[in-house]
Amino acid sequence: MKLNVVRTDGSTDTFEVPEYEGMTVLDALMWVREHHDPSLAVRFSCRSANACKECIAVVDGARVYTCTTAAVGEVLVAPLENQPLLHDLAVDQ
Amino acid sequence: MKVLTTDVVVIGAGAAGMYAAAEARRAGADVLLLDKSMVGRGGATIMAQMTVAAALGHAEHDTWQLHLADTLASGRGLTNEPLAALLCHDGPQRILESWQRGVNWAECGDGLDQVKAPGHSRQRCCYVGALQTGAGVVRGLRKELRRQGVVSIDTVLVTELLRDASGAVVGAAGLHVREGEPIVVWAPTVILACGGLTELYARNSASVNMTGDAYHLALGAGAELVDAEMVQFFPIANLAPRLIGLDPIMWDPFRYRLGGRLLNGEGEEFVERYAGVADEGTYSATRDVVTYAIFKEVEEGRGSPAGGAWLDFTGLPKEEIREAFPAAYDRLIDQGVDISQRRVEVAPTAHYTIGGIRVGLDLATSVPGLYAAGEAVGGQHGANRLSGNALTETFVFGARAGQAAAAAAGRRGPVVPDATASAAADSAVHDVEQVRGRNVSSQVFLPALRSRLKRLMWEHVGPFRDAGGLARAGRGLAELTELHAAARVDPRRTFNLEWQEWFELRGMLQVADAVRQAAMARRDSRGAHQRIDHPEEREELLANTVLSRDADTRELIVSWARVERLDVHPDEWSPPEPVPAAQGSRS
Repeated sequence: MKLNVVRTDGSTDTFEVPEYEGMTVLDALMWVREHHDPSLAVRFSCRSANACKECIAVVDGARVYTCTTAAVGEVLVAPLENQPLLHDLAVDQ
Repeated sequence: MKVLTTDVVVIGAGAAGMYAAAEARRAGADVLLLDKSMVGRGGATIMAQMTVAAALGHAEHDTWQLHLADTLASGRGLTNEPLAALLCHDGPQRILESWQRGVNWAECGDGLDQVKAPGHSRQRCCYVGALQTGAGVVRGLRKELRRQGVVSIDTVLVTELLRDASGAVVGAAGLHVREGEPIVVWAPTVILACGGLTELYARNSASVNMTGDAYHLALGAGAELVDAEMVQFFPIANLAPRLIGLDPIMWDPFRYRLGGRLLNGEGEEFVERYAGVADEGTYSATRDVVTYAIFKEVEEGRGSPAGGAWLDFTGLPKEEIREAFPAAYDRLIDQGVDISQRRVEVAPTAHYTIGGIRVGLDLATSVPGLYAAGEAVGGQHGANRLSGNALTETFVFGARAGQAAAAAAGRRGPVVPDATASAAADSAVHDVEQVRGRNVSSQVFLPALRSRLKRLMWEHVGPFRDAGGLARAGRGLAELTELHAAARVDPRRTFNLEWQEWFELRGMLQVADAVRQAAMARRDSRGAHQRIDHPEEREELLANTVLSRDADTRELIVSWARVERLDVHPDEWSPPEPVPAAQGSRS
C-alpha cells in the first residue's frame, strides 16, 4: 500500500508499505519508523486496543484513530488541525 | 532545562501512580505526578477490561482471609504473605473509597455487583460497564486528582534517580519529550509507579510504554528486585483473525461469561489433562497452567493453524453474545467475524510482571526516600498472579505508598542538594543532552532494535526457558547493546521519539538481562517460570531470587531470600497503621 504522511514542514512523504490482512494505518506508520524513517513522530500507547486515544489523526480528510483505520490502497495521514502541532503527526493533546 | 522542587515525585500515572499522588496530597504533601505518556492513558490501567478483586461480600459471604487463601494458593509457595495480606485486607476499603470518589463501579442493589473470576472461590470481582473497568477507574481517579489539586506533567521520561552522599534518593532527572529539554526534580521522596516490562516481549497485551522503567531505575539507585524471572503470560490472547480496535485479551471475559470451549487443533478439549481438574465450564485452571497446556499442544503438533488453540463460541445464539458484549460484538461483526458461526484462534501473550521491586509493608525499598506501587512491586503474587488482583494492588499499594512517602517527606524536609546530588543531576542532564542528534547518519534504527529485542526475549526468555536459550539470549543482548551504541537519534528537540527511545532501549536491555539472570538462577519450574531443562518444582528453591547491582562494578548480583510468611494466623493479623504525615492533614 502507499502511505502518504504530512510532515512538520507541511511537505508530504510517500512510503511503500508491504500490506497484510488486517493492517491498520498505525501499523503502517510503525513499519515506516522501523524500516525507513525512525524520526517520524506519531503518538500511540495502547497500539490496537483503541483505549488510549492518542493516535488520533486526519486520514483522507476524516478525524480517525489510526489504530482502527484499515491501511488499504493509498492513504494520506495528516496531523489534527485544531491542536498545536508538535512534530509530524504529534500534536499537543 | 527545567528544575522543579516538590515533596513527593510519583513516576508513572496509571492507577497506582494516580492513587499514590492523591493520597500523598491528602496527607499534606506537595506532589508532582510524571508520566512519559499521558496521565491515565499510557500505563496498563487504561487497557484493563476485566475485574478487580476485593472481599466486599456484596454478592455472597466473603472475607479478606478467604481472598488471601486464594491468592496464596495461586502463588505456588513463593508469595510474600504479609504483602498479599495487605493487598487483600485493604482491598475492600479502597474499592468503597474509590466508589465514593467517583469510580462508577457496576452496582447491584445497595452494593457493588461482584462476579466470579478464575481462581477465586467467591464472587468477589468488581467491574465497570462492559469491558470498561480500566477506563472507568481512570475517569474516577482523575476526578480525585483534580479535587486534590495534584500537579502533573506528561511526556516526561525519567532516565535516572538522583542520590545524595548518604545514598538516599533526593529526586529524579530525565527528558521532557514534548518540550525537548532535560528536566530535574528535587524531592525527598520518589514513588516508582511505572512498573511492567511486557513491552520486552514480541507478543504482549499491554501498552508500548511498559518498558520496565521502574526496575532499571530501582536497580540503578541501589534497590533490589525480587523474583524478576516471573513474567505472567496470558493464555488466550487473540491470535487470528487479526482484529482491529479490540483488546487482544478480551476473549477471557467472553469465555467466562458465555462459556466458550478451548480446543486443540484436533478439536479436543485438552486443558484438563494438564490442570488435573475440569476446566470447561468452571475455568478453574490458572493462567500458568493454561499457557503451558497450549504451548505443549502446539509443540506436539496439535496446535491450531496459526500456532495456538481454538476458542469456540459457535452454536451460541447471536442475541446472547450481543447482549453480553454489545460494543465488542458489533465491532467483530463490522470486521466480518461472527463468532456464533466461526471459531477464533488464541495463544499466550506477555501480560503482567509478577516480579518487581522489593519493599516492606510501607512500600519503602531498601533505599531511603524510594518507594514503589502497583505492578512495580514484587512478591505479592508469588509465582502466579490471580486474576483481578492487579488493579487491587494499584489502589492498595498506591494509597500506602502515597501516605508513607508524604510522612517521610515531612520528616526529611525539603531537599538541599549536596555535592554528590548536584553532580548526579549535572551528569544526568549532560547524558540527556549528548544523546540528541548522535549518529545521525547511522542506518541503525531504534524501533528496529526494539523489535529485535522483543523477538529475542520471546524466543529465549519467554514462557519456556532452558540454559542454552538463556545463554543465547545473553549473547543476543550483548550484540544489541553494541548496536544501541551505534543507533541513530534525530537532532530535533520537540517531541523527538528517537531521543526518548534511546533511553528506553538502554533501560530495556538492562531489565532484559535482569529477567534473564534471575531465570538462569532459578533451576526449577514453578508457576509462571517454566524451565524445559528443569521441569520439576524443587523444594530447596522454595525461595525468592533477589537481584541487586554491585555498587562498584555495577554488575548484577543474584542471591536468594527466604519467603516471608505471616507470623500469626490471618484472623489475628492486621496491617501496620499508616504513619501520620508530619505536617498534619489537609482537610
